[in-house]
Amino acid sequence: MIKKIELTKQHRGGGKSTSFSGRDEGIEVRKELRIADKDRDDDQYTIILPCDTTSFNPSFYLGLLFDSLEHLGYDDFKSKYRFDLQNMTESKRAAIEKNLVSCLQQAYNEYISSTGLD
Amino acid sequence: MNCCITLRDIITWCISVAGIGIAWWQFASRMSALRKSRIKTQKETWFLHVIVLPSFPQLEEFYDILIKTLEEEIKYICESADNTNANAHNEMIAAVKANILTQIQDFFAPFQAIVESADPTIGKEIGRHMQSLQDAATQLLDNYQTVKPIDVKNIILQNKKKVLSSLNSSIRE
Repeated sequence: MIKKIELTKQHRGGGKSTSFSGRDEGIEVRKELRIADKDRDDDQYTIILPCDTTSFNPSFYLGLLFDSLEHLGYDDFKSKYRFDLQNMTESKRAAIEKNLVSCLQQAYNEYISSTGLD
Repeated sequence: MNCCITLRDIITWCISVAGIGIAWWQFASRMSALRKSRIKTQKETWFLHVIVLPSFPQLEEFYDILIKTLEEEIKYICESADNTNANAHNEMIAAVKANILTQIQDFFAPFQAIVESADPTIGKEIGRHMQSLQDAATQLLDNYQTVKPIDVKNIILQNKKKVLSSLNSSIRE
């Protein structure tokens, strides 16, 4: 079953920031949304961001999802957690997709060095 | 000829054997310490000459370019704020941020890999510094209305200091 995880403006740390950033902030949101429990179920999740988001930084991504990657392994992780950017304009989508490529690349590098796999 | 071994002879013989043993043990442990210290020095020299020193000019250039790019982009975002509608302006900020994040990652990813191959702990630290730099850059762009060029310089150079400090940590130890 495909379920939704909705990140809100409050998860960006409030204020005027339109960026999701900071590893600690990501870890906090992970706890709040009980992502660790979701790692253990059989559902798939679509992550949705507020449409005015201007940046999704690797630090936040790692805080939010790195433990899931370690728990599930790369392939299962990729099929379990996906981002849906349909609520964004084409130009914005392109920018956030670029962010997500960086996020996944950094997460993969950290995963490889933590597991010793090559 | 009367040939008998006295208790004194046995004690003398035992003391001699023990003396030789202790001398050998001292020699072996000193050689082992020397070998370890030589390997450590070789590693440090290699790390210094192959990784740290050649990276200084590249780091210098990278941070200079990043500061200039951020200053220009902040100015551009500020100037265009009045001429574009809120959505278009928001899209513009997203595009600028994406390019800056990629610019930082493109420089640091191969650099981190080289450092990590020599020293995994320092390599991981470099990875964290890269993420902090990406966060600092996006934060500066978020605060485009209030941020001053000197803030950009100070914040980015703080990160450079941390990167250099991590690289030098292997030599300081």
